Amino acid sequence: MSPIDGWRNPYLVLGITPRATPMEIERAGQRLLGMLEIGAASARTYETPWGKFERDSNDLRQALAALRDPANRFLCSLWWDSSSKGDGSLEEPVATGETAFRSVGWRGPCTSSE
Amino acid sequence: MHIIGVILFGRFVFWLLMGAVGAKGSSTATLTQSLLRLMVLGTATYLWLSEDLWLPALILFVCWVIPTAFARYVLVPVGIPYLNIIFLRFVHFGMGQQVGVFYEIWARSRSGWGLSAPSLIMLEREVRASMAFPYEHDGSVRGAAIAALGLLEAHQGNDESARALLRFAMELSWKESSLGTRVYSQGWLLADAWARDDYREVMRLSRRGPVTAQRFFFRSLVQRKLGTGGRMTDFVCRICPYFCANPLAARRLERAVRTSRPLALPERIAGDFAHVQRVTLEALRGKPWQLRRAQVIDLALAWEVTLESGELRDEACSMIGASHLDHTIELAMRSFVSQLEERFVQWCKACTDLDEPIEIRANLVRRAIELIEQDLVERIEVIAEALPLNKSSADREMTTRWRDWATLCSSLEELERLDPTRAEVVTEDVRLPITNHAVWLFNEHHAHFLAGKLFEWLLHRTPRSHEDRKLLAKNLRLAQG
Repeated sequence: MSPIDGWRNPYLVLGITPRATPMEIERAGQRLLGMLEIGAASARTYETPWGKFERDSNDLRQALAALRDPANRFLCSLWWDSSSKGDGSLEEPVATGETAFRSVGWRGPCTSSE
Repeated sequence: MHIIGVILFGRFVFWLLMGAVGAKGSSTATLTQSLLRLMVLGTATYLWLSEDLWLPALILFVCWVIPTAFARYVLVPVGIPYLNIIFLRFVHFGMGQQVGVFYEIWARSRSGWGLSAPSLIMLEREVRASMAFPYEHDGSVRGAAIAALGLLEAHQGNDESARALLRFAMELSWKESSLGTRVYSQGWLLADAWARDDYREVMRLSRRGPVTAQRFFFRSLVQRKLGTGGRMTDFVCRICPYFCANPLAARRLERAVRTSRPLALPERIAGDFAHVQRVTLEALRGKPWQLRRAQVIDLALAWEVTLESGELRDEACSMIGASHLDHTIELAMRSFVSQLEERFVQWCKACTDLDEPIEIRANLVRRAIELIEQDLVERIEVIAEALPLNKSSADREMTTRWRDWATLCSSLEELERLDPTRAEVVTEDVRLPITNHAVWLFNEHHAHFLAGKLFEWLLHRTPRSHEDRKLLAKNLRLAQG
């Protein structure tokens, strides 16, 4: 899990801020793992500035492991984005990848970023 | 009727001649073809004007003067499966499988009919069979066959392979690849680059291949989206959709792109850590292509000031709880710089104006470009080393050979754009494996067409004073027959 992939930042995955102490980090992680175990829907997704993303117990364990190391915690805090969540600013108003293929006369499968 | 018989016979002789003499796209074949077309045109005009036989005249004209244009503008839009292949094989007297399969796939890709896996396998078998017939070597292979294989790869989801093959087909000369083939290959590549948000590639493609409306259309779309175009761009954007293969879709695309928003970053980025971090996170919230090169350079310079000031190191010490001299701090700082470089590599890769020759002062950007170049060099070396040179390593699958060559070629050309001096050194390093591979292709594989392409490419990049130049020129002449 690389903190450089903004939305996969362990702080975002665990839903905490870099101000959290190691104990708070651990507690947040265990709480979410417990919620996932009982199938709580709210634990399955998390908010980021890039929109909503899904998480599973594996993601949570990786995030916890990453934040147990102080140096890694420092790095993750540098890439943590605290801006307003889920504003969807990255989304294009209309998906254009498929239309681009159609415009040149192609209806086959296409590699689209959307 | 006698005249028609003579023309049909003449056409048949022409196709035999194409196989024996002109399969390499020689000017003799082109001249012969043009003369025969003129003869058919004359006959059709005579039948129409003097005998009032407009139907035979029209059939003669469509089938033997403008067969591919008829397929492209009439049969392809109709999109009925097998129509193109039957028509083109009929006008080519049973031959012309390659061009037939290409237009058949084009028609099916456009209409969306007949794209099931068994149908595509049947078409692939047909195009592969056509390559070995009626000659042993690849002299009969033309752009249509390569583009057909590329489109089939795209239908199977092998996009990397499709890109390489279609780029190869698009870059061939008009003698080796028909206009229809090059236009459709170019269109697919442009749409693919657009769909991947690779606007640098769109701009690059829009400067190559046939001069078409779709090329100007996608170029102006990128300029509009990035906010670098003027009123002329907007005009081109509005006009070009009507000349694209599917004007309705093109118009829809044009309307959708108009609403794109550029990424707004502060004009001046102060050197203090908090501000630089905030601006970086803002930039990360956008897509890599939303940043201009000037913004990337400004951000890099700001980070250099921050890193030099020691402010970040202080922050690391207080957060990790260690002294400045601690090894952990040093490792953390190095990791951060490498993550920063990784991000700058992504931004630089997306910059449409990256290869414009201006001096870059920011070390982070210079390092990012160096990393991009390093990646290209590694890719070139891996492919060049894997080029088969003898029978034991022989892979008789010609598709792999074309694909490898197209990938190697595009990587070297990309390196040439970024750093011409380094590209020269790398070309010199891979000259021997490429030459040996081309010789192997010629001698063992009888792949004269591809071998000729390799010799031609090398010759173009060999200085006049180079000792290999004469040998390359001789090999090229041999390959071209």
